[in-house]
Amino acid sequence: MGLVEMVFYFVQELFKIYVLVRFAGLFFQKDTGKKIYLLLGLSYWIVNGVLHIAMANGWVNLASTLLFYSAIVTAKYKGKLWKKLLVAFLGIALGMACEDIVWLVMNNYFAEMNSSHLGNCMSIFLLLAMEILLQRYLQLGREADISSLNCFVMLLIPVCSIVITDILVGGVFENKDRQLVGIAAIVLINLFVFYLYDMILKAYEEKLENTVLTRQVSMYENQLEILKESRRKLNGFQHDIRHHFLMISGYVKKGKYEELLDYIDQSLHYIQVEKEYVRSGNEEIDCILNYMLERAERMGTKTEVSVSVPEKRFMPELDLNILLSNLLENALEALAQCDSRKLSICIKTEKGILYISIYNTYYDIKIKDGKFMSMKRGFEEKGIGLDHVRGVVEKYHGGIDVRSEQELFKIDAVLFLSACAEETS
Amino acid sequence: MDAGSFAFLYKIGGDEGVHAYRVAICDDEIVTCSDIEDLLIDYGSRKELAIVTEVFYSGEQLLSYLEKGERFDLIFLDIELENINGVEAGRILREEKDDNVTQVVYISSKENYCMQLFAVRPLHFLIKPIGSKEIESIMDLYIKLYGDKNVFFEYQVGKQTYRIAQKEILYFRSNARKIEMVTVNGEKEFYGRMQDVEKQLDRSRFWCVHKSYIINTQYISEYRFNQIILTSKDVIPVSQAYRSTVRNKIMELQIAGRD
Repeated sequence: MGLVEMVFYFVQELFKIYVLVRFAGLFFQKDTGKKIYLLLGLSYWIVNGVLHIAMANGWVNLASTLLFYSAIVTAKYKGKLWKKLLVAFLGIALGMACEDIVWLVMNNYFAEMNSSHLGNCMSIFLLLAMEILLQRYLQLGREADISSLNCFVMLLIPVCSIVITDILVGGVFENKDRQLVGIAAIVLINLFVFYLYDMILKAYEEKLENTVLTRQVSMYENQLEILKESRRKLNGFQHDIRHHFLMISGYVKKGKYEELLDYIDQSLHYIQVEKEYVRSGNEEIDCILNYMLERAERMGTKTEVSVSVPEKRFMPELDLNILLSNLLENALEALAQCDSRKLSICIKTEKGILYISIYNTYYDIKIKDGKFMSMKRGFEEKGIGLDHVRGVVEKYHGGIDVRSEQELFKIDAVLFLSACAEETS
Repeated sequence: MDAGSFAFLYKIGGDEGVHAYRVAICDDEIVTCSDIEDLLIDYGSRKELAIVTEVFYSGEQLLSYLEKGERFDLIFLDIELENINGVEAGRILREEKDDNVTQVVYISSKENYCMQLFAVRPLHFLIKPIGSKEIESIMDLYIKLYGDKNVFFEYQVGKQTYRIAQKEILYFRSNARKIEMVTVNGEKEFYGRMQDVEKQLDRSRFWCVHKSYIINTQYISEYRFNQIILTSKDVIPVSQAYRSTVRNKIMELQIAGRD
């Protein structure tokens, strides 16, 4: 290989790596922030280049590309491992299909040109063009809780298309056009897979939103009930107030203090609305807590609540809702499975931070096997709910501490409210 | 109306000096005031601490007493007072008297707190009726965060060695080899290294939030993810390297303050 050819090849390969990594980026929202992927990219570039010059074996190249590409994607982006592998396979399948199209076109229609380099370049540009198309019209980076069966099925499509592509390209066809049409069809299939994937993600998002909204509606219904009941009782009490005062002065006149205290106790008890556990004045918090605590109480949980927050909105309701609802749902699920149920909640705002603390008893089945904190692992594997909590906590540059001590599962979260102020101002 | 009664209790013998905690109780309900007073006396005797209490039945009384130049360590302040209510009294204390050292504990019969209450930066909120458990945890928290530890910081300017009580220091800022120390009585400068300064300081009260800044947590007014604002309105940057450490410390403080 001439020197010029080699240099050209290396430059081309660098561009190809860039396009492939960019392709993977479409599917992930966050970077790990670690720079090791650059080192991996460099190694791939060198190794692949050397292999190409020394061996020029397609399979070897494919293997090394697959390996390095998967490693780079895993290192650079934040997400589940299976998703990263799926994306790597898809990227390579699409890349190969592009190469084959270009190769076929050049071979069948522009045989005189005999320039493999031009072909390679064009295939990379074709891939880039597809990428830009995908980025413009679809949002493939959304988070979703897709089951492993679904992901396996989706993985099969690019794998199958690589196989078919290879057959089509390797085979001898009388009609060259049919060969080209065949390859083009495969590319279209792959593109449509992306479109379907986007639709699935959208559906999952809507499903989640629905769940959140439905739950919010239940909570508001509950709170409305509480308010109506409270009003009814107060009205009733006010109406009878003359009678109550007469009773009280009657007891005092007769020196019946025991009976008086009893009577006052009863009255206080009467005014209290049963399902109202918290009355901080902050609508969102009262709503969520009363709803969740009612469920806890019905399970026979011993609850302790301490809330000191402003009455006025101090944080977007949706964020607060996602945070509290998910954490409390989790606690309730854990409580449902144990015998001695205790729940302790502390929510406060102070000096620009929001502190949420939820401690609950839980039943750790695996603790007998010596496997500690299966609850914690369960919490971390929980999928969407926890992802959304993490999302909110990260939005406010906060942190969560999850641990278990003294038979209690403890979650403490600290969020900086100024992050919210910055965004609204 | 009188300014109420006094209760004295002194610890005999020992240490460098006995710090008597001056606590004010301001509530228009006489019963509430005397209940809290009794609980404080009880707490003081159990923990062998000197607590001096002063009772006021209105916001005006409290404020006029403070006008005379008197100061308290801690004030139990009722939110629902007539005329000058708890919110107003707290605001006057913080903004007009510029007192950011006195700690306030708001007491109320309701759980509703308006936004302005949080601007006073109370230590805690208590809901009536208040029992010994509440007084105990509040006082424990107060002593842990703001209690007098009688620790000093020494520094040298030229050949002279100076000493200052750590509770009077707001923060340190390093500038090349110079250390600028901002205190309640102005700025002082001396030569030294941050590492050496840090060694002398009470780690539970002083945090290093930047390679050039160490702050006294007693003077924190607001936390932001990349800054800390002190009661003196100074804005201290929190460098990237220290952000998660600071967040963890905030978390520890909150967890410790939880019952």
